[in-house]
Amino acid sequence: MTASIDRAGGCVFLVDDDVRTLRALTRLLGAFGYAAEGYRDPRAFLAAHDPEQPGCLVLDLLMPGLTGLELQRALSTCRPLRPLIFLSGRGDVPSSVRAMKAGAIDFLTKPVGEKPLLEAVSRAIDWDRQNRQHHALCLSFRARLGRLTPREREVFELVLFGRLNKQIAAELGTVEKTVKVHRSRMMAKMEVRSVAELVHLAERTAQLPHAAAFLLPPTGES
Amino acid sequence: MGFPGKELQPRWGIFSMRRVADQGPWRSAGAGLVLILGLAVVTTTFPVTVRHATGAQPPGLAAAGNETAAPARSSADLAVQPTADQPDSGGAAARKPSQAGSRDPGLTLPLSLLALLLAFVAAWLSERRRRGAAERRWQESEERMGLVAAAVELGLWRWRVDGDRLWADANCRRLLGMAADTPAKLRTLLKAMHPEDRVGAWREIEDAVRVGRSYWVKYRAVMDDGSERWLLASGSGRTDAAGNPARLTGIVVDVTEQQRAEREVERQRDELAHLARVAILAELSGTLAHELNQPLTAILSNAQAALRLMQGETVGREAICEILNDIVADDSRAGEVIRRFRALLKKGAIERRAIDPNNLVTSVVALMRNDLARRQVRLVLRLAPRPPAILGDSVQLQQVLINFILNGCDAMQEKPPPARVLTIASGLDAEGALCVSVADQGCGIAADAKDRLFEPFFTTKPEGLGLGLSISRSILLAHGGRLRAENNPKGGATFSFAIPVERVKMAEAAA
Repeated sequence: MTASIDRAGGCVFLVDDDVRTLRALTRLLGAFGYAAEGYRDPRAFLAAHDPEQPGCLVLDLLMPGLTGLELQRALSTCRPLRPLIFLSGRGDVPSSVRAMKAGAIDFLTKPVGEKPLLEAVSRAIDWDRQNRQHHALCLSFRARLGRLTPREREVFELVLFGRLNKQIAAELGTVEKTVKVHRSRMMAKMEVRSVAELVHLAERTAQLPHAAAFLLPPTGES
Repeated sequence: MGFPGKELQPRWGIFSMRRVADQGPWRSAGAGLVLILGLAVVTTTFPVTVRHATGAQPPGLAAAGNETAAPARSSADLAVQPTADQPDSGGAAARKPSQAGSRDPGLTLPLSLLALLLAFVAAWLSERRRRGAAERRWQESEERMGLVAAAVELGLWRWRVDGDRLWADANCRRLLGMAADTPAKLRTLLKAMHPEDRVGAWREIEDAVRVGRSYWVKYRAVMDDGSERWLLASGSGRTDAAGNPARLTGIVVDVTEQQRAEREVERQRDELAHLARVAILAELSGTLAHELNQPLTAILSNAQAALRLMQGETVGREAICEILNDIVADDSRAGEVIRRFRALLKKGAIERRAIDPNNLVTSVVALMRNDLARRQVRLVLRLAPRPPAILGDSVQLQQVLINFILNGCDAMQEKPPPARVLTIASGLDAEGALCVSVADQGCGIAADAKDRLFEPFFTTKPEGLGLGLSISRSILLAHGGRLRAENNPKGGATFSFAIPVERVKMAEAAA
């Protein structure tokens, strides 16, 4: 199990107001090869947070100052989205439902053993890696899309809908030859060679992935 | 028999006796004077009658009549009496019967002496009768006193310093477990006292004797069979003219039942307070779980980290040592959490000790830290730098504070989290009592709730029992302090308790 963990995937950020628990968890994750970084104060973590840095966040649900759920809300606007694992002193059902609905990777109860913790962390890191790749793809897709002229953009949308050049020309009130020129420029700017590739790219980036899509462990074990 | 009004007034029979005796000599002197005059008339007017009577009556019978004569006879009856002594003193008159009716100067002096003697005898008899009546009245008074004392089971006793003489009535002897007729000394009285109460009670009594004032003490008396009785003793000391202690008079009442009832009330209050603490604990159970889970999480993570490190090729001894030290520290932290909660659950007699009010506050805050975090309540502490200690039971006072805090948190539940601020302050109030207050920024106390706030089973919470504040108040009453609840000028309410500090000083001085 431990062998499958991609330890280079990123840092594990820990937020817990209890300094001893924080130290122990940091130590445990460190012993299993993770780069772990602990924060006592959720606000301090928020201030130092860099969404670009790969990794996941393990946080306590109950903290004075800022609760885990509040921290989750504060992080929900940052991109790429930071995967979260909650630790809670008690099995508080409403809180766990809210946390999961808001996209948490897992909700663990203290005292947490190494197995569920490492498993959740590994899943979160996987999710983060995939999310980052996707995020990068989206960014480049949007960048490419941004380079299109308004006319090329219109052609792009109609091509995506499967229209033929003749139909596009009719719709745009121009001739088929002109459409062909726009279409080839658009394809070049979008860095695709076929319509199929363009559709695939657009589908993959059509929406940012919701965290829930990655909730279940890949192998189905829990 | 009717009682003269003035004899009902004196408390002690001996006093009324003295009053009758005071009047005695004057009355008997008057009676004597009447008798002398009467005899003088009789002896000069009826000398013949005297002689005839003497001849007809046997002397022995007359003498016996004289002895048994009741003092209530008229002066005419008394006039016959002198004839009883006639054969001894009037021999000359018998030898000269022919001179009857004429005056005999030789007889006048003895007769006068006789009359005088008789007058004194009569006066003595009259006085004896009066004294008998007074004695009866005294006895009746004593009986009445005894009846009253018996009715309320009052024991009476009196002790004279001079000669160490202790008088105790039957009730008193029964209450103190003393034998009925044995002469008693003060030691007998002290022997009955429970050894634990003896010193304190005796100090009180001694002071009373020395300065001649009254005292009230409550102590346990141990009977011969080992059973205990609670006695309430009151009395007053008297000093003599020179100011030295002279005597001590007192009463003893059996208050065992009363004491038992008081203990029962106390026990019930403690029981109720305990139940309320259990209820509080149910409310804080989440906190307990969290408080225990923190160290348990740390211990588990540390142990598993150590295990993992041990599997590696290079193991840093120092790293392992550090981990083990943390495990030890966390274990004792978990133990501390349990100890703190168990103390709150503790059942039994309250212990009065000097408590630092700030410690009280910080220990409660430690208990409730997580609960406050969960409710998103920010805590502000305004503690006096060096407050005087208060005397009390820390568990019960903690309970009062927890109640205040829970109430404050509940009152702020509807407010947005940034507005949920609870301020706990300690310090001296205007009257010099030590005051600990909990101020919230919640909805405040409604006008109609204000008067009923401390009533049992009065609550404004949907799930409240309505016992918290009423129990808090009874706890404060038992501590000689008081509870206050008022609305803040800027919204919210402040609950506070105040405990007088002077009591602590006294207790510390005594300890």
